[in-house]
Amino acid sequence: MLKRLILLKPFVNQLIDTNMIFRSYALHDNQWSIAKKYCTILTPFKFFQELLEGEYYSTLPIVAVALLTLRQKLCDIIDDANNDDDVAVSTLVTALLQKFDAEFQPDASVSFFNSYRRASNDRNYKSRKVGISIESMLATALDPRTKHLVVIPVHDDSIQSIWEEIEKKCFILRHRVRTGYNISSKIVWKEPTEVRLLTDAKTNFMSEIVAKLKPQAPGRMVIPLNPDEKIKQDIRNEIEQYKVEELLDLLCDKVVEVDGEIQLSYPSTIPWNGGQRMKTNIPF
Amino acid sequence: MNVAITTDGWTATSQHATYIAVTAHFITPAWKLDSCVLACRGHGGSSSAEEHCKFMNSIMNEYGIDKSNVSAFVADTESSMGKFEGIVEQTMEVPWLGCIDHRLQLITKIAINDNIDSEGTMKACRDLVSAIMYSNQAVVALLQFQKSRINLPHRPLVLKRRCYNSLVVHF
Repeated sequence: MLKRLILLKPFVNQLIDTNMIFRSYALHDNQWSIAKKYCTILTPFKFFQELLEGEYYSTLPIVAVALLTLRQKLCDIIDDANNDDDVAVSTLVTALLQKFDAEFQPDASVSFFNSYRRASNDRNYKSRKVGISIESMLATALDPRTKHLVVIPVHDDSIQSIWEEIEKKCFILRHRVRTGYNISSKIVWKEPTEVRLLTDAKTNFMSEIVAKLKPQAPGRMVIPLNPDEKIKQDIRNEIEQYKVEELLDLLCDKVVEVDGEIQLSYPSTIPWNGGQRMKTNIPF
Repeated sequence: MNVAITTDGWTATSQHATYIAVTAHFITPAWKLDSCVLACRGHGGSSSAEEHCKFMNSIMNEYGIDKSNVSAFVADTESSMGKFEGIVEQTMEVPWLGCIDHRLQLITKIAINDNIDSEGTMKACRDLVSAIMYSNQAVVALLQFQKSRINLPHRPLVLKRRCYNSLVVHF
C-alpha cells in the first residue's frame, strides 16, 4: 500500500486538488516523509517474507539468513538514526527491535542458535519456541546457497553442535539405507551397539562426509553479510564445484542404483526458485 | 519417502463450521519439490488442539503415513496450534516448526499500528487509499492523470496485496 501510494504521490495530490471530497484525507508533508521512511524500513521485511512464502523452492534454509539479516538491518538503522535525530524512525525501529527480540531471543544470555521453549508465562508467547530451530540451521548449513551466508559468532558452540547433528543424521540415513530399519534419533545415542556403530562410523566414514559438506575454507560460515567481490567469487566457484552426486554415492553406498528409479540429477547451480513465482535474486 | 506436513484450521462463522486442511510436502525421487493436499474437510468438532491432533492422526492413518516418515510439522503459532505443538512433540516425537512468515508478521504489525511519533501517518495513508479505492470515479480519474504523463506505468492504488488474515504485505 505505502509503496504504491508514494509512487503515485503526484497523481494522488492532483486528485486531491481537483476533487473536494478527498481534501480532508490529504497527507501533510511530514506524513509523506514519514511514510517514505517507513517504507524503506519495512522493505527488507517484505523481501524476506515474500521469499519465505515461496512454493517452488525450499524455504527452510532461508530462515536463519532472514532473521539474522533483518535484525542486523534494524540495528544499523538505529545506529544511523542516532546521528539523524529522526524521532519517528527511531521510535519505530526500537519498537520493531524490541518485538523481534521478544519473539526470537527474549533471553540475551541464551544463544540465538539454540532453539528452546519459552519459560515465560506471558500469555502472548505461551509455549512458543524461540531461537532458530536446529532443523533450520541444518538446512542452512547444508544448502549451498546459504551455507556461506550465515553469521554465527566464531566462539559460539552452536557451529559444532550443528555439525554433530548433521553427522548423526547422516548416520541414521546410512543405517536406514543399509538395513531398511528406521532408527529414531533418540535411540541412537542410548543403545550401546549403536554407539559402537557410530564411533566406528565416525572414524571411517563420518569425517569424510562431514569434511565434504563443510564449507571448504575455514571460518566460511562467519563471513560478513555484505562480502566483497573476491569472497563472492569464491562462493560462486564453490557452489559450482559442489558435487552432490558424489556425496550421495558416498552416503548411500550407491544403493540409489539398486532402486533403478532414483535419478541423481541435481543442478550444479541452484536457483532460488522454480522460475515461476519469485523473480528476485537474493541481494547479497 | 519422508514428508513434511503443514496444517491449518479455519472457522467459517457464517456456517458455524470448522475446516481443517492437511498438506504433505516432499521431494520426489527425481529431485523435484512437490506437495499434495491430503485433506480439506469440514470438521464437526471443536477447533481445540486435541481435536486437531485426532483429525491429523486419522488423516495420517488413512494415507498410511507413519510418524517416522514425517520430517516436520509446520503450522502457524496462534494459541491452539501452540498447544497442538506440545502434543505432537510429546506423542509423536516429530519436530514442530512455527511458520516463520506468521512470526515475522507479528513484528511488522507494529509498524502498521501508529506509534506516538508517527503523527498518525499509517492511519492517514490507509484512510486516503480506502477513500480513493471506494470511489470508482476517483480510481478512473487517478488512472487518467497517470495516462497524461508519458513514460510512466499506469497502476492503480492497492489497499492490500492479498489476505490470509494478515497484515504481512499491507505496506
